[in-house]
Amino acid sequence: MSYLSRRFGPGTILALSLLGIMALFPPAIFSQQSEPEVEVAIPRYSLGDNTLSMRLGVGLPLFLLATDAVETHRGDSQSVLSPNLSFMGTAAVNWNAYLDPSFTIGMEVSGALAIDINDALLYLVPILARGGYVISTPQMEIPLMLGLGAVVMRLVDKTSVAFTLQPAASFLWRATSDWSFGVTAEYWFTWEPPWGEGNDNPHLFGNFVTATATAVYHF
Amino acid sequence: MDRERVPTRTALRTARAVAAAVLLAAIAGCDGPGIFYTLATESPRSNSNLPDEVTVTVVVSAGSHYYVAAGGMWRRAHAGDTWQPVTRPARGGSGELLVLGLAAAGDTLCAGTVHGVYRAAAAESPGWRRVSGVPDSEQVLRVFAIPGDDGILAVTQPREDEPVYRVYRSRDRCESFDAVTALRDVAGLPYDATYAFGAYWVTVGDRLFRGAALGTLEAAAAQPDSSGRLRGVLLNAAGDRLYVADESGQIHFSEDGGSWDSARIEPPVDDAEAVPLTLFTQIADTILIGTKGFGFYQFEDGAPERAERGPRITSQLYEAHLTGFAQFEHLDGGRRRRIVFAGTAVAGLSSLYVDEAKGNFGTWNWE
Repeated sequence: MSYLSRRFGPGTILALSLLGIMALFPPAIFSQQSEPEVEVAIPRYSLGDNTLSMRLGVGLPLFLLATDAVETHRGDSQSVLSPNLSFMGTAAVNWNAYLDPSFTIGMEVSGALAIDINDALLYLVPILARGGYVISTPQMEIPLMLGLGAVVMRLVDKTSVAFTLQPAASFLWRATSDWSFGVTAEYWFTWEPPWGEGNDNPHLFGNFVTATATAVYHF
Repeated sequence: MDRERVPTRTALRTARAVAAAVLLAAIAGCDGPGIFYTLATESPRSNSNLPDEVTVTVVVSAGSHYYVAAGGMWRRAHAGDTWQPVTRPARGGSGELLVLGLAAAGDTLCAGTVHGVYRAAAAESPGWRRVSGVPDSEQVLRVFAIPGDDGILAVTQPREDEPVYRVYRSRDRCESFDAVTALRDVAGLPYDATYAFGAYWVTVGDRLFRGAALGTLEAAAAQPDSSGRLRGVLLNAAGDRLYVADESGQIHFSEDGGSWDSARIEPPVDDAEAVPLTLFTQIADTILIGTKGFGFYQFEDGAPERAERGPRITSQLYEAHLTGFAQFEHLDGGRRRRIVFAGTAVAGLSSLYVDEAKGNFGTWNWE
């Protein structure tokens, strides 16, 4: 993994992710190419309609924000700190239910994997409740979403939980009546309190962005 | 849409219950400095060439190099920053021997192996020579250079048919050894030794042994009031206070060896009963004591009750089991430099940290 992250850039990994999505859903993609005369029915969703979306892509750990200055290995003290992480690989499964043609609620479980400066793996598993507003056009769906939940994290032998707020926007092309494909951009604002009694470390806020190839199934 | 409705309410309820259970379990497992804090304060590992699997228990300085022994041997120049493997002693056709203990006497290396003791001048390519006095059949577990004494001790593995730890001593810089005593009915391997107040002091299991001569070692009449195994033993720089650490988190100290006072290090986390202590090292008036699982603590000589947890950063060291601890001074371009080595093990990962003495023991490089 460490070798891969150094060997390939994030653009390459995103392209590979898109290819992976296409490989997972070939009938939906290629039916459009071979049968262009088939019209896509523009659905009007309502209460009781659901979507299941699958995402795969990359993330970038941006910075950590501390409520008090933290001494780094260089001997200086800072409040804005490097996360000391590589690009992340990330995948997510999201279920949404329509409340009306525009509003959705749902849940999401995702996973992300990053490598720290000493090649240790950091696992992040965000579990979110999501609300969304969907802008629909005949060709496109643009869900604007806000997720609220927690992230279970593990680094070597440490386990921790952080709370997270994740705004996101997807740009999806209606490929068929059932399937949409596109990309999702998401910001992770993640707060890790100093757990444990007597832990006087500052609160830290992790900031990440992700870009994921997205496939959505309507049912 | 004309579709079959799914039982969303049941699915939602189940998912919510699973998520809550996962989160509660994860929160219950949260402890220590936190993952973001760990990442923010992490030291990048230097490209020092020392393999990951090396659990360093001993670091010595001989000639112009530092040496570590952990089965294999590596060395780095005093002014250098990379470790190179060292050719180990060899025996007949069996190839290189595992080195379990190592001591230095001036420019001479004294290596305890699975087949006796070997010595070599700390030159560019050590030429090992077997030392007489310790039988070839003996597996040498520890080699101590005793502070305050010019001798070197070698402790051997008990044989199956005779459960005693044999102690050998060299008075001639590892040229030869004499058998001086056999420790019988002791609970464990002699852990540490020093020379203080005109006597030898050796920690063995939960007892402190004392003897005016090594051949007369016996359990000291006045024992530290300990509820755990005794570990490191140290005479302070001024030579007027003897410290003994134990695995129940107590630092015992005495100014004559006849009576003991104690100070306890309270665990920094609720779910730990004690801070198990390991080895001492000292830098002028500052004394460092390693732990199992909590890195190290430091205190000013005479005030062990005010011991503070040492490494504020470098997460691996913060929660490490200190397996080896040593400090040295060397001249670098006419400047006197101090260096501290901390061999660690944490979560199955062994490491060596080096502090090139910035003064606060806070700037550790991960080798």
